[in-house]
Amino acid sequence: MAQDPKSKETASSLQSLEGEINQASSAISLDGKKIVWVEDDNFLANIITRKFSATKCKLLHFSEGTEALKAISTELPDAVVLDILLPGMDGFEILSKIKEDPKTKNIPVIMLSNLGQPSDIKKGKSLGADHFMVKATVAPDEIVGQIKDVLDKNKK
Amino acid sequence: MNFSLETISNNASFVIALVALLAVVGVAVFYKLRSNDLRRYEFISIIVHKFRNPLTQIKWSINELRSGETNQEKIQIFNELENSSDKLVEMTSALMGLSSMSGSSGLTKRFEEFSLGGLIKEVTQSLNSLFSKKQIDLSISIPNEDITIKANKEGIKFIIQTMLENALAYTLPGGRVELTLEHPVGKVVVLVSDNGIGIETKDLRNIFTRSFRTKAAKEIDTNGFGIGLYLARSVARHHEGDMTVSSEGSGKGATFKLVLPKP
Repeated sequence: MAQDPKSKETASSLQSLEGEINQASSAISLDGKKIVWVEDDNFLANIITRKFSATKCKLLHFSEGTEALKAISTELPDAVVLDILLPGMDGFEILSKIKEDPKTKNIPVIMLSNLGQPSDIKKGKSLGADHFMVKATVAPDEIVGQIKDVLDKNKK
Repeated sequence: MNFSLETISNNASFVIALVALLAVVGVAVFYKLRSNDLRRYEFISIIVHKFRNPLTQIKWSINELRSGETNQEKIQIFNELENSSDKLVEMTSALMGLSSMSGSSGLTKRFEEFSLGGLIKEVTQSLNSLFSKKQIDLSISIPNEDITIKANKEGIKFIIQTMLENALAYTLPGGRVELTLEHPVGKVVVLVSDNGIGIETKDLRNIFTRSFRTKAAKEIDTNGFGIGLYLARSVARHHEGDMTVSSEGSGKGATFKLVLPKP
């Protein structure tokens, strides 16, 4: 079976447009917002840290759940981004604890994992996640955009 | 960040090496665990998840490197790298989808009504650029009236995509591929015909066999696994449908036919 790589338009006009879009989405501002990100992959965490530095938000990164929950409880961030497969407590458990605590239950949570089966998405949403994204299918700009959308939605 | 074309080229080599690794591991998994369907599909889900982590690293790194880049040559290379990475992610999604469809109960739970013509348009649209790039004329013929079926949408999408990708792979530049949707009483039929390399009569009966590839197919496309048509027919049969192939021989093109019941 053929598995030719899918090609994209590469005309220079489109590339320029793409460059503008990239720059526009990079310019999304989360100024003054506090985001907690739980991700155990340091490589991805570094990329995210660099990406978020351009949005002017305060990013608190944790690679496991216990420390993350402590910070969520004390810092009361504007949003939480959660991986699912983590050492120790998994993302679903962290989500449950956030939603059980009256202090933190209204903090919007975005699940960002490479698990993407309908059953995973259903479970995340039933536990109170605001949004579910599959890491390998989204670019960091889209994640920033999604956080912005969730924050805007919660503001209304 | 300043990256030379040599560095980018090394990245491309990494992606290609990853493709090879995925192929080897994927096929190994497919065979190794075939004796136990449930275990096999659970294992596929784990492997898919494991593959997606480095693919995420590649995708996000490309995104970061391309951001703000003005050199058009580099941007093009980044785009091509991203396409390769996205294609692998699509493959993991297809594998994941197939694993969740295992067994008739899994399929039945995810049956939904949808427009078959609409799905065909969606798939052909996503493949248009590949056909254009290879200078192959792709035409589709769909009845004006909307034909809806109740089926597993992801499964049917996989079959149509496989039929078209197969025609694309084995048709030479300048050739043509035609997709036709018909709806005789009680069923729907999707035909994909090409004027490509064709299939020798002796090979026709094996074409849907797992890992089978004709000699000519191996020469024209060295990357194939020989499992796409096997899986596509399996999905068709889960729907109580079937897939068949006809060809007048080597160099005379081929026609793949999907038949699905429509009560």
